[in-house]
Amino acid sequence: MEEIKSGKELCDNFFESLMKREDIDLQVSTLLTKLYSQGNFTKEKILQGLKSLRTDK
Amino acid sequence: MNNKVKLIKLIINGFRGARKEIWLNFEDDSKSLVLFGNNGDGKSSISDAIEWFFTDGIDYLQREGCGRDDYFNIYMPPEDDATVEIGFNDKLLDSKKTLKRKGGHSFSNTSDKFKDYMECTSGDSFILRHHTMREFIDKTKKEKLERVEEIIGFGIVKEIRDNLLKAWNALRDDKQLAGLQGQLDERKRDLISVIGKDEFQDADILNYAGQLAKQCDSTLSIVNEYDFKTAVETLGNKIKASDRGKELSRLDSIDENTPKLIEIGEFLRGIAAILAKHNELAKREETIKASVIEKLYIAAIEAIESKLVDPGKCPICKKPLDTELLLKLLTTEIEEIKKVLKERGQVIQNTKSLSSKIPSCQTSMSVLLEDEVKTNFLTDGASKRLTDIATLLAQYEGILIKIQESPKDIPFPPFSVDLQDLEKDAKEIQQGVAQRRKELSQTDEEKNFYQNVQKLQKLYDDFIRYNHINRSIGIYTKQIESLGKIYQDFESMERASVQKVLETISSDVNDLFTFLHPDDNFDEVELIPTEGRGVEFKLKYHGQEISPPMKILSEAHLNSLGICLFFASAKHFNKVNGFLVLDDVVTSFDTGHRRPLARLMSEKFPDTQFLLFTHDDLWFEMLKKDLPSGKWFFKELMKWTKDNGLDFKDSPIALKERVRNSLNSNDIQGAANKCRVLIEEILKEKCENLGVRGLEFRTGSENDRREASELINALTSYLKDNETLRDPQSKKLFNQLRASQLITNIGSHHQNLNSTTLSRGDIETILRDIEEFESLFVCSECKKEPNIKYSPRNSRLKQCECGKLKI
Repeated sequence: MEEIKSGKELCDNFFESLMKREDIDLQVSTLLTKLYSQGNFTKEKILQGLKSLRTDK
Repeated sequence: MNNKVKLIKLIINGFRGARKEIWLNFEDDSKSLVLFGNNGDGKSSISDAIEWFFTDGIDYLQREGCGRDDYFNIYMPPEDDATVEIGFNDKLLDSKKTLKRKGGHSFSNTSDKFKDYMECTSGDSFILRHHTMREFIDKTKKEKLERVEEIIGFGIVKEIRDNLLKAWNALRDDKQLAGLQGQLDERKRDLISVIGKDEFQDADILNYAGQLAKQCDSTLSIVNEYDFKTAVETLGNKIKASDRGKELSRLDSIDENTPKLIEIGEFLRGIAAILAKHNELAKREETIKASVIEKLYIAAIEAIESKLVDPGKCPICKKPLDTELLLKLLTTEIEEIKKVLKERGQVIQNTKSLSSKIPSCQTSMSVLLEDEVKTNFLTDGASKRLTDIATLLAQYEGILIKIQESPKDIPFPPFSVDLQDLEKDAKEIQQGVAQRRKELSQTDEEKNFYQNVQKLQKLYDDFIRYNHINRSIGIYTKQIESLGKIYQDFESMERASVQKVLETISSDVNDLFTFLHPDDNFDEVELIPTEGRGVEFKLKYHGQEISPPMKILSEAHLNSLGICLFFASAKHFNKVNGFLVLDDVVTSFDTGHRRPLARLMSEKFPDTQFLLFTHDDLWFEMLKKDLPSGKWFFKELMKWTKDNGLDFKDSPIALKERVRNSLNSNDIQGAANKCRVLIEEILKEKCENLGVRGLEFRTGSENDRREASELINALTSYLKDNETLRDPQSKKLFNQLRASQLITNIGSHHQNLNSTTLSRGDIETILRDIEEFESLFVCSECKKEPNIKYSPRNSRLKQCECGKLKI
């Protein structure tokens, strides 16, 4: 039987491939990947990060 | 599966029904257990203890509102902690978990290995209870999907998906973005009013600005944003160079903002009207509840129309009612709710529109409240009135935000500004400014110059602000689009993964279900994704497709489906633990399907350690015969008592050990109590071995209800009939045992009577009597007791294994 991937494996793979996506704003994908890897993937942290990106621009 | 973690021992103390320490020894090869106990004897305390050890909670109790305080045995000393100790086949994982009275808990094993193990098992589902086995089947499609995701460890996937969606929605509804959109519209209107075009590009603005700049200074040319800025700065510096120019510029600004005073007054009155409307709606309770209730009613209509509930039953409480009538009532209610929601929607829309105008009003007020205006053009009364208007503007800004956030009432004094006073104030300012202009007596040429410069400056400010706002909105839009794509891709990935998992589980559920019901014509049992976010069972019955299964499946079949799903998910997703607890699930099965379940456990899960609890004595006896004794052991629970709590019926050997332990700890009362049980157990064992008539037809649990006196009388009668053990010495030993039985009975039931208090010596004498009595039944050669299993069929006397001793 083909091994079923765990939820964490699926998420790891998804965020790994996200950085290679050309149709998505690189700053947004970098932010989300960073928050995921730090275990900070919450609505509040995402919105806070996006706000910082808007302010920095 | 052989390398999976299994139980070697379980010791529970002070937890739930276990008042005193109880232990289960699964032996070094982690034998499976069948535990019999009547309802109320404490079986579930054992599964509760295991669940708490691994999850720190007891799900079904938590759902009933019970907390950690309810986990302590209620009859134990109030200061004592409760403990659950588990020994595993990997000794490095052995740990005792203490539930502390003062709060919190602790593990005796603090190694990283144990922590890793506990983390790895956090998603495992290893306990199935009678009242939870149907839970999955009875869930809605959406809940089923959520449960499947939970079982397969997709908690993190759900969390990521939910947070992505929440962030995406929050960004789209960001008030700052709505504010920017309002400001952009306002700047656009301002620019249109200057250049006279409804639609424009940057080049149109720059072209118009170029013409205006040339009228002021023929050397100036504007082709880009930089030129524009330079021209405005150059002309501004020219004006600043003269005091008169500065003052005229200020007068222009005052002139421009004065008419807005009336607009601001009307604007404030508009906000007051919206606030009044909002507060009027807030008084209607249904406004607050409308949006939630609407969803519930719509869901109910969907459930009825798509026949997810039986016709003639309420979709929520399942009680009988006229569904046609209910549909009509719900439809009428929804129409009413929609009216209320429409009114609230209108209020919010008006509020948003007013919010976007506040910044420009505040700008005008700040110009009109400058010291120069107050000193030269306003009376004290007018000055105070304008200050109040500015304060009110700031307060109303906050109120507009509150109106959008919640439908609840916002207390605020009614609007009391007299607009006629404002008109009078505006006139006074305008007259004062006109008078001052006369005093400055500018020429027409000068007048045109100053006006054009002022117009150019405003155009520049609007143009820059417009572009800045536009860029900010562009960044927002890009972020919203990116988040949306990421969310949609993530959801697609999740769906595909769940689909794959469903296919895998379905294959096993089908295999197990058809094993349990080989002759019932079921086939192709599978879990399939449904429209929207959900999953449902589908199966074929006599070749016809059925979904959901409750359409045709009996209660017993549905329970069976629940247990098959539990086994299938445990097989695939319990990657660390190799044990499963089945707490009284078998009573949900038809008698005919119980033995297949026993076979299923043996054949399909030969390497799994089962802890099977039942209150069905027939099933217990059946399992004793069906399950291989090398891999399984069988225990029975004593009747639960307040004093002893949960306790096992032990073998006489173990009981003697416990009597001695009680003596060693000076617990004479406890020793007497155990002696009484010991005598009963010994007598029961002898009667069973010899097949004493009148007793042998009872099954295990029934035997437990026999009194020792009944057993000893039956045994005596048997020996009398068969003329064995009739010698004086044997009779003496029988009498001694009868006396011991009587003493222990009194000792254990009348502990408060001093005259019957037993001493250590009494207990030691009783133990000697018991040993001597037992020796009567043991062969001096083969050391075995006579037993019906060694004896020829229908023989009157029963013999030992070698045949020397016959009783």
